[in-house]
This record gives sequence, structure tokens and C-alpha cells, in this order.
Amino acid sequence: MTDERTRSKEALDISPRENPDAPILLCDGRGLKRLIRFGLAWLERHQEAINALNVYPVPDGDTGTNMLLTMQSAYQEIHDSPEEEVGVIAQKVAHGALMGARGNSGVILSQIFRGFARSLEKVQAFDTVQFAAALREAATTAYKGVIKPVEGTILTVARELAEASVTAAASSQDLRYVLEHVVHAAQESVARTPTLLPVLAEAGVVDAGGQGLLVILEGMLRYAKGEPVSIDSELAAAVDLHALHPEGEEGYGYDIQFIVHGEGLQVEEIRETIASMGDCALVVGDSRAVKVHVHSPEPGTPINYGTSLGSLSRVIVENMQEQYQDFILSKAQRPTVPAEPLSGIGTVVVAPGPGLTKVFESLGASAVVSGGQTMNPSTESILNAIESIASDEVIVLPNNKNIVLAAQQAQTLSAKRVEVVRTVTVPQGISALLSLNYQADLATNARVMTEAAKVVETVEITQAIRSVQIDGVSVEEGEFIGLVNGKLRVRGDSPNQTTISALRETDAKAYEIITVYYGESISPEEAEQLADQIEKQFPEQEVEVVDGGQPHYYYILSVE
Amino acid sequence: MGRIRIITDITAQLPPELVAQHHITVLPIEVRFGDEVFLVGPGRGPELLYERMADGLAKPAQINVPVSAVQEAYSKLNREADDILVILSSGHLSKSLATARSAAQAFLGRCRITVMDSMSASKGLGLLVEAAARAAQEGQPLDEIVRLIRGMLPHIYMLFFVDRLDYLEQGGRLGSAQTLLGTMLRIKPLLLVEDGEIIPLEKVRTQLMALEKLADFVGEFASIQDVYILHGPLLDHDGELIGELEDLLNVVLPNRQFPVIEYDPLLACHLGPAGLGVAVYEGI
Repeated sequence: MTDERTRSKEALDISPRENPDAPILLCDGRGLKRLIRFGLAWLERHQEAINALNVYPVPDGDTGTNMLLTMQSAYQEIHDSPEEEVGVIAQKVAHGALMGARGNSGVILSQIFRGFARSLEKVQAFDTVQFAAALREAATTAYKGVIKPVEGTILTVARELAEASVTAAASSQDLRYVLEHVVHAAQESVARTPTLLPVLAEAGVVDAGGQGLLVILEGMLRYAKGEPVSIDSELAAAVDLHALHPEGEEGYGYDIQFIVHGEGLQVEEIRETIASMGDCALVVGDSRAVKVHVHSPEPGTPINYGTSLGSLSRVIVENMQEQYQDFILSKAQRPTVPAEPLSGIGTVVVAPGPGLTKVFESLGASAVVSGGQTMNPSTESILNAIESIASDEVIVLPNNKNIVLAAQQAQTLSAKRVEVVRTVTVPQGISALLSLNYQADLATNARVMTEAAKVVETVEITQAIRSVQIDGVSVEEGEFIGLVNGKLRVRGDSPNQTTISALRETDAKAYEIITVYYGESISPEEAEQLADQIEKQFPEQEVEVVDGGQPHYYYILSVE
Repeated sequence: MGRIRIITDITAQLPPELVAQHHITVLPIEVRFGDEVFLVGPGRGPELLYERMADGLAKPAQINVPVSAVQEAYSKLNREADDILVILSSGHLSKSLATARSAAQAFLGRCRITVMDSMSASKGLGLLVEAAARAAQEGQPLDEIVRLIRGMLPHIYMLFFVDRLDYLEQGGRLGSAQTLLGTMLRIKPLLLVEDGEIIPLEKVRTQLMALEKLADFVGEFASIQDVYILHGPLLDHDGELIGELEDLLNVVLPNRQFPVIEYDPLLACHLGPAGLGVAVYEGI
């Protein structure tokens, strides 16, 4: 924002101004950067409070954490950028959010930034009218990113605050005034979410994603009003660490990214040329802008080629040694040799726990991304897994409802033909993967796998992380709870007893096999005891016990 | 136009009356199973082999026709026929084809011996041999018979499921880790005999789903001439599973008979002794 203080070198020092109430007429790239930083800091401060808004009392993909990780990824794209054009900063934010998006709320947040950036393309500094238009585009894009938009969520909040911004912008040129109205509208919208979404009302909470968006905007407003937010030192340290590029070592090449802007760009042709220059080429875009991502030992070649096509922006050249170390440290993704080389179709599955990873690998998964409850993998890690495997056709099994959107984002980002089979539990994923037919084509497999996922019933046993009454079951914090096909159905005093009660809620007697995947906190002996108990209750069914090693969930069972 | 004689081996599972009627020569096979060799031929059943299979895990297996038996058959038929047509199991699944081909070298110039890869096995092979024998009986020339058999090849399908994975592991169709975990999870792979190979398709975990897959497979054909139920020698002694499969097949293909056949030692070595499946001939 081009008032006096935005020109100060350290944005977080809210230096006293001559006239703190002077209107803020424009916001340039540096201003947006600080708004994002304040939004991020405020979100971090409220992370736990947002996590606590989970509808289900289960250790789940926490909304606050997911949105924070997404925001961090967005901020890392811009934190050391001297760029002044707000359109460019918005693009970088959108890209960072997109790649770092975790969980459904993170993916929707990244869509919001994407629409915001699209509206501000080529804009040097926005005024109130452009700001309102960008918020509108943000809401529209977010709605489009979701196949079945649900009201009473972050989507509703994004739409209602955008509507408020349009009204406010019509009556004021002061960005601070507009932002105040936006925050006010967001507060009201969040408060209304339980009236729109009965499940929120039942759980007695507001929508966590909507609350997260509100908190980000509140942080931005604090900046505009000159109110400080405390920046967590650990976060600042993490961001600074990321900025330090270690001295390059030969052998890993460079990770080169840029966007070419021009007229009549031929995406296909660019893709082929770039692919010939290095590995892992990713070229997406349209005739006006093409995003290029390639690994090459010689960064000059693709960049020179890009310059010959048009003007370049967001040029990023990174030494991959650094990324390689990140990869080794995170072990987020474990590409494996495809066990069944007959198929041209690769599979990327998300699995929590070493045991389940082994199960998926042995069933022929081409790559396993570790993740699940409370540890939703980012769009980027799913995308990396898709790109890492040898097949051009890939099926992704997210195995968790909170990872489906990130998987779909990765699908749109990949140049490969990708289908996401919307498996929402581990047993569904196993059932789907088994039905992969190496003779059939991608679309047929996606259809057959979707069907296969439906024939299995899932039981999950965990501990309530808060007291709540939902789905007609009242639970106290710390009690053991059993979910059947994602719905809270029973509670109990021990994991084993809760499992038996939950199995009674399924059609187990009509099926053949009950499989117990026991979690990291369960010993093999305990799991065998449970199997004995199940066999007594269900003498007709076969019971199998497998070490799943998943965190948080004592048991995951499949009944089929 | 000369006289044509047909040779196959015991795995074609031809009914004895058909063999006699068409003067088909049926060779025995040697089954090497682990350290032991079992000879299975006309009048000499595979019971001992199956006892070994029932005793323990899968062992490395190899199937071949004895060279002496092939040579003897060639020598004998050389005198009474102008053309000898040898139709055997897929070269991917046994060594018989290679043996028959190399044995034919010695007869070059004395007799025309045509060795054909059926690209199939068991009942699939049997259907081809039967058709060839009928055509020969009708006096069709060799070229026509070969053309007929080649035309039939793509219309014969066999699909099986197995619930023991160790035989697939021995055959190199599953990795050892897959076998271990797959066995724990009771995984039943579906296997298609195609282009002479046994190809894993999808997998299921329950018998009911496996049976439904077999019935769905049969149900997808627009026209069908024959459907056979093929089962392993050690499968389902009370016939319950086969009965369930018959019921499901009756739904997709009403008013039909589905002859039930115990499959041969070759399939037993590749699929294990407890597989269950269908052989379908579309007709041409």
C-alpha cells in the first residue's frame, strides 16, 4: 500500500506515521507481500483454534494446519522477491499456494489466490475497485474448483466477503475501509455457516475453513491499521532457512521454472522442445502464458529458449541438491519399481504408516505418498509422485476424503493423463488397487476401480479428541470411538471392544473376509486378541490381521 | 491329396472315443515337479503328481513330451500318412513344442511334419485338435486345416482364478513380497490365457467376487458356442464352489449346459492344483 509506511524497509515495523488515518489508495506488490505475511502470521497464531473446529472428533487432517502450510508455501514464493508489480506477486502467491496446498481447505484457499491473481494480471498496483473485482474472481474460481460446492463452507465465506467488497469499493477509495468491510462480512458469514450446513450446527462449531479465511483477512486488516501481529520466531527461522541456497554441488542439475508470456504460444511445441532439454518437463498453459518446469544440467538452455518465445516471468533456478536433501529428509514419496511391468498404467496411492505402505507396494502401487489422517500430503508431493513414475497414464488413490481435492489439483497440474479414483478410506484404496486390470485402458480402469471401492465396508477405531454429539452419538473427549464408512457410530471403553461394537453396525455377517490393519500403538498380541474376539462373534467370516502401522487409528478394518 | 494324421499330447484332454474315431496320436508328457519326474499319458494318470502337490508348497515345474515318444510317433505315422500335423500347448507354457520341432528335423525330406503352437492349453488346445481332426476326416487339405486352426485361435478364451499364490510365484508371475502379503490378504488373482501366456488381470479378495468376475466375463460375449468349467484337481471336493459358478453362469447364459472338466497337469503346474475357471469358444 503506497502510504508512507509501506516504503519503510522493514514492513513489520509499524513505524509511527504522520497521519495514521490517511486513506490507502493503492496496493503494489510490496504491499501485497506484507498483507500476505500478516495474514500468515495471524493464521499461525490461530492455527490450533481452527484445528479445534473439526466437525468429527477424530484426529483428522487439521484445517488450521493445512491452511497454514498452504499459506507458508505461498509466502515462500514471495518472501525475498523485490517485485513491485502486484499482479506478479499475486501470481507467485497463487503458485506457491497451489503447489503447497494440503487438505481440502488448502486446495480451496489456493483456488481463491488463483482467481485473485488472474484478475490482477498485469496490474501494477490495485485500487479498491480492482481489489473487489479480484475478490469476486477469487470466489468464482474457488467455486469452480469444487465439483459439488457446498454452502456453509469457506466457499460461502469467500463469496459473501467478495460481495461486501464490491459494495464497499463503490463508496470508498480507501483500501483500509474496504478491508474492514470485507472482514466484517467474513465474520458474519462464518457465524452463519452452521445455519447453512446442519452438520456444523450438530457439532456446535462454525466452518473451520471459513474461519481460517477470516483469520487471514483479519491479519491483513491489522497490517492496514498499523496493528502489530507477533511473528513466530520459528516460522521466521524456517522461512529464512529456505532462503539460504547452499553452494551447488555437481551431479544433480538445476530445477528451472519460468513462465513465458507472449502471443500465439504453441504449448505442444514448447512441451516437446523443453522435454528434449532435460528431465521431468512440465509445460502447461495457453497461447498467452505458458508455465515451464524442467530439470536440466544446463539452466541457460531452456531459459534462452524461453526468451526467444516471449517475455519471461517468475524465473526460478534452483540447485537440486537442496531439493534432493529435502526429499531425503521428508521421505514424503517413495517411488518403487512397478511390480507389474505389463501395465502402461501407473498408480499413485496415499498411505498412512509403513505397514500399509508395504501392502500397497506389494499390490503393485507404482508410488506411495505417505500421508493420511492429520498428515495430508501437499498437491506438490502428489504431483511429484505422479511425475516420478514411468507411466504416462496414472491413477491416483487418495484414500482419505481430505486428500481428494489435492489429488485432483495434482491431476490438473500434470501433463500426464491422470484419473483420480475418489477412495476415502484405506480399505477402499486396497479394493480399488486390486481391481486394476493391466489389460484395460485408463478410463475403464478408473470406472472399475470406483466400483470396486464401493463394495468394501470400512471400520475405523480412534479416540475422540473432544466431546461432541454427532450422528446421534454422544462422546466424551478421550473415549474410544468407532466410525463405520466415515460416520461415527459407536463409542467404547477399549479399542477392541469398540471394534466389536462397530463391526456389529456393518453387514459383516453377509461378507466373507474381515481384515484388521492394526496401528502403530497396537502390539501384534493385542491385534491377535482382537482377531480371536472377532472370530467368536463372526464364526462364518475369515479374519486376517495385517500390521498397518498407521498413527492415530488403533485399527482400520475392511469388511468385504 | 494325401492322408493327414494329427498328433497332440495328453494335456488336450480329448475324450478317448474321439481319439479313436479320428486316429489321433496322443503323446504322454513328463512333468518335472521339484526333484521328481512324473510320466502322465494315456492309461497313466497324474494322481501321484497331485498327491505331491497336495503335500506342500509349489515347486519349480517343467513340462515336456519325451523325445523318444515324439520320434516313435513320427516314425510310425511317417509310414501311414503324407502329412503329420502336430498341435501342442503354448510354447510359453511347456517345452513340448520345442521338442516336437527339433525332433521333426530328423524327418526332413521324408515326411511333411507341421508343428503348430496352439497358443492355448488344456481344453482350449483340445477344441483346436478336435476341429483339425474333423477337417482332416472330411478330407480337407493341410493348408485349409492350418488356416482353420489359425482362424479359431483368437476366439478361444480361458479365464481362471486361484487362491494359492505360490504357483504363480514359482512361475515368475508374482514377486515373493506380493505372494507373502497377497496370501495374508487372501488375494485371488484372475488370470487370462492369452497369446499363449498366462496374464494376471485384476485381483479380488473374496470367492464370491471371483465367481462373479468369471460369470461377468462369460456374459460379455455377444455369441458363444461352448462354455466349459475347468477346475483344478484339488479344488472343492464337495463341488459347492462349482455349483455356485454354474448358478451364476445360468443367469448370464440361460438354458445351457456347462461341462465340468478337471484341468490337466500343465495348468496344475502353472495355476496350482486348486484354480477354477472357464473356457469359452465363441465359434467362427
